[in-house]
Amino acid sequence: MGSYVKDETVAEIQHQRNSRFRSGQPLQEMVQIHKEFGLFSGRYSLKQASQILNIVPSDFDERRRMYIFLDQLKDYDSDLDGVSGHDRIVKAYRENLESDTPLPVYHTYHRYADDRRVLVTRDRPIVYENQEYLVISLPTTPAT
Amino acid sequence: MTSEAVEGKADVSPRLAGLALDEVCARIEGYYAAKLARHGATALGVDWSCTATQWLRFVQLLRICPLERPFSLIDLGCGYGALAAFLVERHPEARIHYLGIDLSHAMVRRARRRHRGKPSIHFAVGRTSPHPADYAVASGIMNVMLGYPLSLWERFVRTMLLDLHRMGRRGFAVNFLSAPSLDAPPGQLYCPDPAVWARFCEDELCRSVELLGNYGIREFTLLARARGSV
Repeated sequence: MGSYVKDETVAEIQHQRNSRFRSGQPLQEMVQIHKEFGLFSGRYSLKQASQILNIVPSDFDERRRMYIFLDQLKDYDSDLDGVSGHDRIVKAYRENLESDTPLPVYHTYHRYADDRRVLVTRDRPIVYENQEYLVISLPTTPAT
Repeated sequence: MTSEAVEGKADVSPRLAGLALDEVCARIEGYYAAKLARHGATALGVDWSCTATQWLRFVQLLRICPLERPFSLIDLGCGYGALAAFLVERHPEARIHYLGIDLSHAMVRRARRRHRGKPSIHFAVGRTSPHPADYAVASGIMNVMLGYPLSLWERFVRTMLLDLHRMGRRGFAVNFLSAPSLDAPPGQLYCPDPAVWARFCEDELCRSVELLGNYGIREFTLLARARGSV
């Protein structure tokens, strides 16, 4: 992702996503939005969902580049055979938000050189919390 | 509600009128014109966090309307016409005569441009409509207090509810914040006790009231139906 958008944009979007999917009221909001409008039912692409949720870079030029990256995820592999990175993320959101006990979602990154796939796991990524999260990790390559 | 929220003890003093009402309306118009100039015709341009939560509010407000039958609707504080667009998109079969009203000329200009050529969708600049409709709705028009003291703001709220009551023959719907967003300055947002305005609508407006909450966002929607209507 680092080769698509600026480093600060990567951090900005990570913060926005983690804030919107954190436990409590934000997660309830996501559950309700998905339930009412099927945001992750496959009707909307990740780009469209990001626009609808206003999870976008504040810099307009970066917005366009982030949309390109989100569309490019359709060409990425994922930890599920035959499922693209894009569809894996949509599926992970959908299954989580439709479950009886949805988890907050933690969005992070890993080095493309280490694993080129989009990875979805369950973990406790925040060391000072006992909260379990659905963890979505995107492969990224440093810009330089 | 946190200690920073404005406590909701409704002041049932008379409605706001004359110069005081004009001044509040002028300040509201300025506030939203600035939002529109900054963010354009988007959810942020009418002070909502995103399109999705705006849609969630519309779903609740529209529970006042029988979407399977024809009806007329006034959308007070219509902004750039987002509710009209939502109706077209989500309820294309519904037969609705829609009138959006907004204080802001800039908002109404955007709304007209957006809905040009749609014969049952109209917009007007103003605070109210002299002609009632079957239903009236208002989304978020009383949330931002703009520095006014609570007592004056609650007179404004009362005035808006009386207007909605007059404009919505069969019913009206309005939403309020139930807790302030964490990034809002203290005292900026109006977060009343739902029971206060529900009681006002029941006792003084003789409406049947239903309160909707727990729809994922920190607010509630008040549905006020004419007694005896479905």
